[in-house]
Amino acid sequence: MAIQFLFLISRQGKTRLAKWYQTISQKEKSKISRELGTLVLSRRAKMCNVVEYRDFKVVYRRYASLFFIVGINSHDNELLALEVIHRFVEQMDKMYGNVCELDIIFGFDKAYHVLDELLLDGYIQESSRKEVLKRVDQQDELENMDEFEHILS
Amino acid sequence: MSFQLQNSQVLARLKPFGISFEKSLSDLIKGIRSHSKESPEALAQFLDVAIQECKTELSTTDLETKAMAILKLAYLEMYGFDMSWCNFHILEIMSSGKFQQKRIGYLAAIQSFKNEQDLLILATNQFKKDLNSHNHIEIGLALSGIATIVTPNLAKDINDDVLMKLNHSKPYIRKKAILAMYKIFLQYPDSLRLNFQRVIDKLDDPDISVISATVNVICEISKKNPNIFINYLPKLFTILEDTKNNWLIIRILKLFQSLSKVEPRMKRKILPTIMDLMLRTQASSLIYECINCIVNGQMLSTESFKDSETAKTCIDQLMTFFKTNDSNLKFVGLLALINILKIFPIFIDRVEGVSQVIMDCLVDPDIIIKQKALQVCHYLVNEDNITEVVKLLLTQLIPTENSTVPQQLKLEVTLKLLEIATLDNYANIPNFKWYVAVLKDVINLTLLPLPSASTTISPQVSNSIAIELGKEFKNLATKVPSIRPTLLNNVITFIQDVRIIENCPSLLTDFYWIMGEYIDELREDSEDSDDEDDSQVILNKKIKLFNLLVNNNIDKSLGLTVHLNFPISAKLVRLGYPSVLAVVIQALVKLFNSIVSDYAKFYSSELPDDKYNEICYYLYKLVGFLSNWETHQNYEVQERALSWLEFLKLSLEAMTGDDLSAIKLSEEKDITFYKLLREAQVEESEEDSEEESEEEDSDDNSDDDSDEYGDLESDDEMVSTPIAPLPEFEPNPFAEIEQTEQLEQPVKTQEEHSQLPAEISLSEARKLPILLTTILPSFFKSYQLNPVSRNAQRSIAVPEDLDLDSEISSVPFTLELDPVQDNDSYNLYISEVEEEPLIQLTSEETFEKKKERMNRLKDDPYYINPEPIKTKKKSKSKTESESVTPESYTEMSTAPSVTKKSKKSKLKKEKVVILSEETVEGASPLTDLESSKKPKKKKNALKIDSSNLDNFNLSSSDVLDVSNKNEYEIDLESYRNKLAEAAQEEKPKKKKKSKTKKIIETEAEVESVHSTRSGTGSPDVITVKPKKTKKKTKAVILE
Repeated sequence: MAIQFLFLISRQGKTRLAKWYQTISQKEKSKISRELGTLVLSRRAKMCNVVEYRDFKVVYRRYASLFFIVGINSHDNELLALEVIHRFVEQMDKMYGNVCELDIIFGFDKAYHVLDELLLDGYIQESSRKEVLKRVDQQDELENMDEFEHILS
Repeated sequence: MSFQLQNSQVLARLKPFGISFEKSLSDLIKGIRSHSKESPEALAQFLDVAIQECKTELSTTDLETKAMAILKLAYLEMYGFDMSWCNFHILEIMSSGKFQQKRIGYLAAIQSFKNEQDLLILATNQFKKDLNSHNHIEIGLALSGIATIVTPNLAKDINDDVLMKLNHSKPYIRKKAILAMYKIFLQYPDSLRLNFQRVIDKLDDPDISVISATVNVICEISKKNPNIFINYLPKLFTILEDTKNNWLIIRILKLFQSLSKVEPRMKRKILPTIMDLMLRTQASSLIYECINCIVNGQMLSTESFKDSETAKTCIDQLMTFFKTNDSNLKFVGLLALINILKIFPIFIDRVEGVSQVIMDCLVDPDIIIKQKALQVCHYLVNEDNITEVVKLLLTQLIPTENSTVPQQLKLEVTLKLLEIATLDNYANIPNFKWYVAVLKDVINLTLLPLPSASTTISPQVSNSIAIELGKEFKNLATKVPSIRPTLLNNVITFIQDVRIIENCPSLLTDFYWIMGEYIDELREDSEDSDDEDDSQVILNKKIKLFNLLVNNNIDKSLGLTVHLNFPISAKLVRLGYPSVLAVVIQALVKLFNSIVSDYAKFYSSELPDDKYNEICYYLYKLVGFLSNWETHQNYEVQERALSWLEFLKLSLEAMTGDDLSAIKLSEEKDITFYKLLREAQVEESEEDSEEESEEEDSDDNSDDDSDEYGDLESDDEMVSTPIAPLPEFEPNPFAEIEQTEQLEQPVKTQEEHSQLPAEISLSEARKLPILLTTILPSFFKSYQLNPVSRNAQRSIAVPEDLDLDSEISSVPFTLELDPVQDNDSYNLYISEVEEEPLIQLTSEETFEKKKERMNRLKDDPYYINPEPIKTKKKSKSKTESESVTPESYTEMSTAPSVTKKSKKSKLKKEKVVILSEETVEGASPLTDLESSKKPKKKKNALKIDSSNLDNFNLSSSDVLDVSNKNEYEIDLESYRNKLAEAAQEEKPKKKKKSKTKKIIETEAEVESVHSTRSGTGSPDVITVKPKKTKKKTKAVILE
């Protein structure tokens, strides 16, 4: 299960978060996110959440005003990809406390931190719900320690 | 600027919880939001300013400020701004002692770093430092970074450090390390060779997440190279049985799927467990994965009864997916179902509900489900439901009020329709007239622009649809003789449709071919008209068609540029498709030939003068039209046009001699007629300038008029030549006479009458030249065309004595430019020699001279020996002496016996002769074709480049291993030494070395691939693994 990329777009097609697990040029990136944006946004609610794009599959899911879009290999399990998206949302929900689009916009670095603990270069590294948040918390704590020292100095 | 800096520092001191610089970032975000509401220009301006600000912030020395700027840039990167220019700053932040800044640095690095060589040399040290940090969170951060950024050089340098982390005390680090190792393996395959065992060892890790990560890595490697893991199957199997974690189970199943392909024997052991898992679990993702594992792991074989039972159980499970009304389950269920059906097509009928599911998916509003269902709907088809399925497919092509049909779907549906219809050599088609109607609908729905929808179809897609449909029409015409008349009528209608030549000219290649080849089989559509009438109507139809295609010169001489009388002819001249032109040249000649033979049929071999002149005029028009391509830039078109022109010009000379007056007369008549018609039209359109459609209507009718005109002419003739059975002309087949025509008629008749005396004076029976009556048909009718299977020609053996290398003749020769032949052929040009002064040129050649010339030409490779042609012609002339009737030719073309259709109810299966394809004995069907098609390797920017692991073998020197088992250890040692050496050396030198090493390695790999391929299944070949486990596997597999 190798995830190629994950990005979030708003209903207006604005990118809210973008993570690419492949080295591709900026031009290509924006082309893909633009094309997928229009593709996904054009689909109706009842339709299935998998689309084929080039020669891989794209799994998306809508949460409130945000579309979570994930690119996977054509042989990967689509349902598992949906699960990954859901897990990601769940974790953010816990961390921000009832996550909303604005949380992600203004705290985008935190969202990245959660994602980096959940996936490592596109591979699921942690399937435990608690573990991911625990690690993010630990890192935050470490940051605060720095802060603390900073004040003391 | 400086104020802001102070401000943020104050904030940092006031708020100790990690939000010190958020103000600046949220300022940016708020700014973007407010400006994007204004206008795009304002936003662009704001962003430019923001980036400029970041640049200045980066030039300060304060790390805090820099980190803030980097974070802002990382945010802007989402908006498509490249941030690679600040990579060195990112590196600086990464090296910060403060975790907060380091974290930002890594975040930015992961987003921004690509293969920057010089940068990564610096980064390597930073990674090493962080990897060896005392703080495990920092180590984790570094591992995340490495996994994303790693390049071949970095992989080599960092390999040992990451490897050490595999034994870190914290599972958190071990887990990340093993995943990072996979990325290192990808870039640096040697590392896998050396550390393979350490990866395997991680399967015994006490922590489940580490095992999970390890399985992940093994699963990925096994996609490329499953062989090396076969020995560890028992261990993986135990993990599968022990765990309850569905994530892990799914990954192991993925892994088994790859392994099963190379080790079919494992199926016996694992299949029951998988089935058990599938039936026990509630998670649909797991059920789906189980089925995928069974199907894609090639655990189903068509022969085994047990396997088909397994498949049936899988389908039963899938049917529950479809009952949930969840479109995602529907989609994945359909995917899995398709895969099973590909192996067991019979289940589409056997298992209840399957065919209904497929039918439902075919009409699903979701296009991706529809497309998937299309893939298998040909399994659905049988004799009974083909009309239903085809109807279903056709309705998919009809746009609804609020949606249009995507062009890709159009193509897919078209291809599938053709596939369904042609299945087993048209075995399922109940009625071919119905099928032709379907094809007609497909053309109308796909290629021609629909009046309601505004969507246009791209030229490429349109072209491929047109080519496929054209092929199908041609196939049908050659294979099913009884359908030819119907087909021909449809084809002719399409040829006369100007939209076809405008929108999809490639369709015409085959349409013109059919028109030309089978024109003699043209019949009237209506059932109840009697034969006499029919043949005249058909001749009219042919003439109309002919005029439609070649009359461009009339428009030209009228100087028309818009509202042409013959728009198709004009378009044809300028058509940019050489392949169509090459065909249409032949087709026109065939059409002309058919017209001539029809004339000959009606009036016997002696034609009344006016008829004779009509043919002259057609010929003249044809010559005029073909000469448009005399200098065509495409060689084939030019060649064909020229060679036919030569022949046709000769014929024309044979018919008229020097006297072109009659032709000129007809031409003038034609031109004046259209001129008057035009004027009348213009007047009318001025009178009631209502709609354009009116005008189009009258345009259409102008085509009819040409026939009308011809009819009238012959009406007049009737008076003078009673032989001709002319009443046939009376009933006008193109009934609707518009006002314009009625206006026209008096004028016309007047005109005609004025010319009548001249014609009458000439009126006497004239014979057509043999060139037209015998030779021209002989070009087309000598052999019957039969369908030939696709690769029959390939399997024709090359004659043994064929030697293309040796010289044919060394005798020097002079090129003869005069290929016109001898007395015999000369005689064939005309029946009445006296009338043809032109041919005297050749007739003067004495027999002597000719003989001498023949000798000279004997060795000229460009000259084909006339002997065999002569004999042929002789036989022809023999038949001619028995007063050749054109019927003999038409008979010939209809010769293939057609069993009469039993037409009772509309779509009852009719009995139709479908010609089977001819093939050469011993031809192996398709194999040749298949081999010539090589799968193209497409490069995808988004796929992980794991080509390094392609055909990767654990022991690069496998071949040697077979003979000497110690070799492996020596090899290992040498690699270690090399590595150690390399580590000590300077960096540039290292690069060089690794290159040469790689070359050797690839060579070794190529060899090793051979050895493993030939030896799969026999465990002896795999020598790398420790002996213990090998024995174990053996036991398990044979259990």
